[in-house]
Amino acid sequence: MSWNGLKKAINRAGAQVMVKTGQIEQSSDKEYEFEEKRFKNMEQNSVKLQRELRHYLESLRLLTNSQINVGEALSSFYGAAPSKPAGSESEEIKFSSLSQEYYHVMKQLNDKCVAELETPYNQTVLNPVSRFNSYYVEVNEAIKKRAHKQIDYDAMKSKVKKLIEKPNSEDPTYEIKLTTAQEQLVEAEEAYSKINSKLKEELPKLINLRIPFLDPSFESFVKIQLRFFNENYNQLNQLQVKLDAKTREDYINGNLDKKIDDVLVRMRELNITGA
Amino acid sequence: MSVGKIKKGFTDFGSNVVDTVSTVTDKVVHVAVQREYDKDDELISHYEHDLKKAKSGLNYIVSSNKKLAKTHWPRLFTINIHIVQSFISIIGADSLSFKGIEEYYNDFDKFQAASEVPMVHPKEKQFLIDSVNQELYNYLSSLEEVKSKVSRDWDLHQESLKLRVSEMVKYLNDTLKLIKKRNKKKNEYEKTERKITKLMKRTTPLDDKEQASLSKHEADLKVQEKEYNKLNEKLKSILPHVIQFLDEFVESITQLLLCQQVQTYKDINRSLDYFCNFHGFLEKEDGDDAIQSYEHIMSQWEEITTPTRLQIESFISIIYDKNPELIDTEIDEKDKTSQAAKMWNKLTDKVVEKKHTVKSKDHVNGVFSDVMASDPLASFIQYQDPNSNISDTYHPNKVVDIDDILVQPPILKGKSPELPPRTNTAHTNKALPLVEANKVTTPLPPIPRNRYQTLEMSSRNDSMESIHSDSDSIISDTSTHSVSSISSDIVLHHSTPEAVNKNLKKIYNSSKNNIKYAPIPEPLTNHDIHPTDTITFDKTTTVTYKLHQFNKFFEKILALSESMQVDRKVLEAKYDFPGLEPGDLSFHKGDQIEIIFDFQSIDTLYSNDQKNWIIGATKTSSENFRIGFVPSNYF
Repeated sequence: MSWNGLKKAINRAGAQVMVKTGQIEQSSDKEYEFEEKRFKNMEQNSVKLQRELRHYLESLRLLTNSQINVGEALSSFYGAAPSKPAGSESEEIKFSSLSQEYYHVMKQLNDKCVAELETPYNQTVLNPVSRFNSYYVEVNEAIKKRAHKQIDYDAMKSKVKKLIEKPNSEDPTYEIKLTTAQEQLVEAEEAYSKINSKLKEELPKLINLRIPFLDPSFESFVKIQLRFFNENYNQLNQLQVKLDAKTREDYINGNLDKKIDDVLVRMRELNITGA
Repeated sequence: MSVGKIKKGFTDFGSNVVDTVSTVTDKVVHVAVQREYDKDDELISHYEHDLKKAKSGLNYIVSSNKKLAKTHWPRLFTINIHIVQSFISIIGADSLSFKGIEEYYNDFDKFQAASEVPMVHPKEKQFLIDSVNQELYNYLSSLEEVKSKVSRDWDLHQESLKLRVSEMVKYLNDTLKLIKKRNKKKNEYEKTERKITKLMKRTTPLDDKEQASLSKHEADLKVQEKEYNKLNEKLKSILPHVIQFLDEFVESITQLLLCQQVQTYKDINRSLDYFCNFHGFLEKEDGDDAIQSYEHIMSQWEEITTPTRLQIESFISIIYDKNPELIDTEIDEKDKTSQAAKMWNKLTDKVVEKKHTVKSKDHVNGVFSDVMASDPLASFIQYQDPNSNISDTYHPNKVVDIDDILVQPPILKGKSPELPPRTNTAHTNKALPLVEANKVTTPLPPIPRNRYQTLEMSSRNDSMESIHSDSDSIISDTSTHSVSSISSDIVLHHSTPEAVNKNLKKIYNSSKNNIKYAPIPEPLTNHDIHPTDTITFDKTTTVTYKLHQFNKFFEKILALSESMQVDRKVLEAKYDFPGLEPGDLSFHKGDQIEIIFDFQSIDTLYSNDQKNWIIGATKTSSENFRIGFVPSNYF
């Protein structure tokens, strides 16, 4: 920051305190304020959106991981998973138990589907939103600049006002002071209104562009999910088809629980604790 | 492990002692028995280890499943809903409204009232797209619906699984307790045994007190042995069953879990699919809606957003152009935040999502290895797979790679061409004598008898069972005296179709006239069905009659083609043909049809558009065959 800039900053800080305490009358532009608040609201929400989007990927990973762990635990009952025999070209691995095959499928799903999901998700959903958020840096600087200009303008205004209200005729430099102050006021007003009107004009346009920019991301967010769940469903369904028809029917009728109960009943009949 | 070793050491020691002592006295337990106990020890300790591991494994599964049901699935949906809500608050209806927005609206209203020129209300100035709003709200509601369904399902599933697994764990605990009890008994037994041995080792004669304690110990030993044996036997009989049931149990919960997952994915998939379909997110492909591939999603997104992006960036540069490099830098979420998030996830995963595996004694085959064992040869004979288990414990559903027989959806037949016109058939039928009369001048050789039989056989094979009983008797009646005569009669003298028909009719009716005996003993008093009911009468006779006629016709053709010594063409059917009228030869796609007679080959003028009925035969065995009309354009 240059010396000039530093001086400006100190002056502004003083003026700002005076504005806050009500010593300087603050000029207001309702129209601009409206747009700025809208903009701030948008910023707040899209930052939140970005955070949530990131969480989504995490939670998806946690979910699949947890599913794999359950699968692995089930599979480990049956010992080491059979691996592809060395040298054989075929993809088919022969499983001696459903649990092992289940684990295998889950693992494949996780390795393949989640990995495949990441690139499009990042490219079309997460990155656009963070790119959109990166625009705020620029716009916020413009807003800050406008605030500075406003303070300058308000300070100048009050200065001129004071000079006019309490004319100090004894001071020989009074006239010169007044004219220079008035000149400065015009200058400050010009700078302020220039940036004010520019922002007032451009901000709504920018805000309106949010929909065509973000809606495609939403669409691809949905589409990616559809694709992901569809793939998962298909893979698991393939495995389910391999189950015998009885089991599937049992599940549909809600009898699979009964089957487990049946095992438990037989276990009870062993009379382990009895004499 | 070490305990087991020590135990083993003890028993070894014991048996050694017993070995030496047994030479002195017979009172003590036999070596053979002792050795068997060793084997049991090993087996039971193996089981004990596996059961303990299985117990912890089951507990882990329940807790992870609970986490899945209570945390992961709901979290996924909650975040998803948050995302949509954020989207709504940015681009949806009423988006970007802030606290105190009413004040501004009021101010505007006041200003509007004061000014003369009407202005657009800021509310109206909001640029919103209705379809986008609808999209977002629909998605939100469908998500909430799926969320409630999935979390309800999982809650239920988790509760039921928890209940069942806890019961299973209880049984496993009981079994473990039993094993412990057995080991305790065994220790007691061994202790008493050692005491006895110690007393027996004495070289000096035992005093009264010692004698008493010896006999007491011996009595104890007997009781303990009995108790121990009982427990041991029980365990030995129970444990294989426990393991077997555990196997079934694990299998069943895997099935349950799998089905539950499939159901969940299905629900989500269906709801998303419906939503996407409704809002046209699906790709149109051959008239069907197909789910887009990731590449397509990306390219489509790129296409839509790029112009908007450029526009936004130009606005940004208008508003404030201080550091333009900010716009040009590629935003790559993956490299910065995501990388860190990944690391963090990995760390937290390790803490939260600890893996758990059941470390059974047999690392390769797992807990249920002994139950799985079977005679490979017997298994092979039964299941064509030496690894399949043939024992009682074998569950057919364990062999997952045997696919169910899926009923194929009916494959749409390759569109079979239109059948040649039937009028043509009738025509050929009648025109035949003409053709023959022109070409064949020699009298036909008599038809060999056996040939006829085969024909009859073949006609019996045909699909027209209903009329067999009729035609059989008729044919056999007439065959002896009419066949040869007709052939010459019809072929050589009566060459008009009417005459042929008339003649055939006569022959046919003559056979009926031979029926001397009426099977109905007394005339029907009820004359509902009048004997002269022409409709039914005609119907039965026409088919029979036709067949009979065809039979004879085919006979002739066969004889003719044999006499002509032509090489018969064999064609392969391109389509299925079910046979529509009597005399048609039904065949399937790919059948080899021998062409007996093709009118086109005789008369080139005869409908040469390749669309007519020719006579073909399929061999059913080396001697028998079926003969009939086939459409020529089916080959």
